[in-house]
This record gives sequence, C-alpha cells and structure tokens, in this order.
Amino acid sequence: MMTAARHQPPPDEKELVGNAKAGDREAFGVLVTRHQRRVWLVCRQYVGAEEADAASQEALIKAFTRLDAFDGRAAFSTWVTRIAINTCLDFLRKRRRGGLRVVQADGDDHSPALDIPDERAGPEEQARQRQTIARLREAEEGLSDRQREVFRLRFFAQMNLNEIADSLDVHPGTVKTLLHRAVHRLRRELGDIR
Amino acid sequence: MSRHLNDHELASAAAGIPLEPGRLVHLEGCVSCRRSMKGFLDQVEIRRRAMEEEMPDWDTHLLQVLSGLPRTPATPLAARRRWLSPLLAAAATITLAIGTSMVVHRSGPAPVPTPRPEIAIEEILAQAESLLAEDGIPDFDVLDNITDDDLTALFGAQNS
Repeated sequence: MMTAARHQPPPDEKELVGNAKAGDREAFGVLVTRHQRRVWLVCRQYVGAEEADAASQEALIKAFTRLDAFDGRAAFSTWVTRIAINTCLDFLRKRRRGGLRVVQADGDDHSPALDIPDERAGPEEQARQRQTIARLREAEEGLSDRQREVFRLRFFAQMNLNEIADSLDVHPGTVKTLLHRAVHRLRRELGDIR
Repeated sequence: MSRHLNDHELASAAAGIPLEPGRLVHLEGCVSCRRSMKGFLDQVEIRRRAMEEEMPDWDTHLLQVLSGLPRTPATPLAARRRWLSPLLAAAATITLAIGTSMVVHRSGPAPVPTPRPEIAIEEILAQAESLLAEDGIPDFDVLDNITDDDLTALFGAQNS
C-alpha cells in the first residue's frame, strides 16, 4: 500500500534552506544528503583521499553556520561547493604551515594503496586499470595548477562548466580555455592524438 | 562526408565544450571521431571510478556532520557582532574622549609643591623626657592612693 508520504514531492531546496536558516537541523540534514557526495568529491580533488572526509564534514558544518549569508543568487550547490573549496585551501595552508609532508597540488598522496581499480574486474583488467590510473596521474602533473584544478572539477567532481566558473568565481570562457588546454595536453600525453 | 574533427575539436568535445553545429553532426555520425574521443574519456572514467571506491559511507558522513552542528545556524560570535560593533565603537569613543581630556588636563602648568615643614624631632623628644621626669603625672596619683582595704570595703559591701 502506498503511503501518503510517498506521494509528497521532494522538498523544494529554497524551502529547505529557509527552514535550515531558522534552525531546522532536519532540513539541513536533507540538504547534506543531497550535496555531500559532490562536496566530498570536490574536497577529494584538493586535499586527497585521506583528508577528504574531514574537509567535507567541516565544509558542510561551515555552510550551516553561514546560512544567513546565502542569499539565493547562486544555486545552493554552487555556494556550498565554494565553501568546500575554501575549506580545502585552508586545509592545505595548515598542512604547509605544519610541514607535515610535501603538498601535492593535485590533492593526491601518491600512495599505491589508493590506486583502487574496480574489484569486479579480473587480475589482468585490474592491472590494466592500475596502469591507466598511473599514466593519467602522471600526465596530470604536466598541467598547470589551474588547468589541473578545472580538469578535476569537470571530470572527477562531475561539475559542468558554469558550475566550475561560479565556484571558482571566474568567467565561463576562462574555464573553457583552461579545460580545452588541459584535455588537449592530456590526450597528447596519453597518446590519444591521431 | 565532412572532414574529421581535428585534435582541438576532439578536446573540446571530450571536455563538454559545445562544438559548432556542423562539427557536432559529424561527430555524431563518425565512428572514428567518436572512438578517438571515447578512448580518452574511458581512461578518465577508470580514474573517476577508482575515486568512488574511496568514498565514505554516506549515512555515517551525514551523522558526523549533524553531530558537529552548533545549536543555531549563526555562530554566536557572528550573531553578537551585529550589536557588539556599534557598542564597542561608542565605548571606544567615550574612552578616547575621557583619555584626551585627562591628558589635556595633566599637560597644564604643574602645581608648585608646598614645602613640607620639617618635624622638630629633637624638641619633641626633649619635651617627652621632661614630662616623664616629673613624678606627679596627673590621674596616676588616684590609682596609686587606692589601697587593698579600700577595694575590699568597696566590693565587699556591694557583694553582701
């Protein structure tokens, strides 16, 4: 039997933000459920797998404390992504100050243990995937910081061009240029050019 | 059939940057161009899937976020700032005004110190010595003249 709740449309994002602003933690929980994957993926690109959980949690908590500043001009996802990026940059600054280890600009810690291929694939396929990941990672190192950042947000955090532009506060044309150069260079490095 | 997409056009297509309509039509109909673009995207996809394997359990992630939330969305400091700033500004102005007036007041002509008379210690000691040298210090005589019998008579009469 279908319950009445199943017929209810999902809560409107604007309404959820309004309720969360008024202190409704449940409403904010729904927002977190919707956006935590994206926030985590963004953080993963900047701080690496080891700190992505902590950075994404901190970013989402910051978003809650700054809800009053959200005026609805940008999409909530863009706004929270921007907070995530700033949080990651803070993480990187702290890491640099602490001198814990060499900062990799691409957010990878280059640990072979983190090269996780698809476990469902056979050994040969897994080896091929590992090789592909290593080659791509190596090729990424040839990109400028900004190219790498845009490339990762586009392909690994799965953001579209306008979302990247809004999150980085740059013109969409700049994103297109950076992304085009990044992909062109990577294809050349990976031997995909005809 | 139109010419194949060049490398720049393929890079744009792979990146999701819109192509000119004519070039897009070619891409849609050309197996070679699509294969070339797909070869790159497949490699990227392998790396992306590897990252997905690192993702946390989302329910746990959500709980950790919710447990870290403050009671209210606005941080106490931020909420306080709204009324604290003008108050602090007013307090600073008053403090500055008082401080300035005190400095101005103090910077006037310094008062001339009045000469403090020296104490004639020698004279005082001499007077004390002469006083102590006299046998008959007033009031001490009264005590000296009271005898034990007088006291007994006095208290004995009161107690009886």
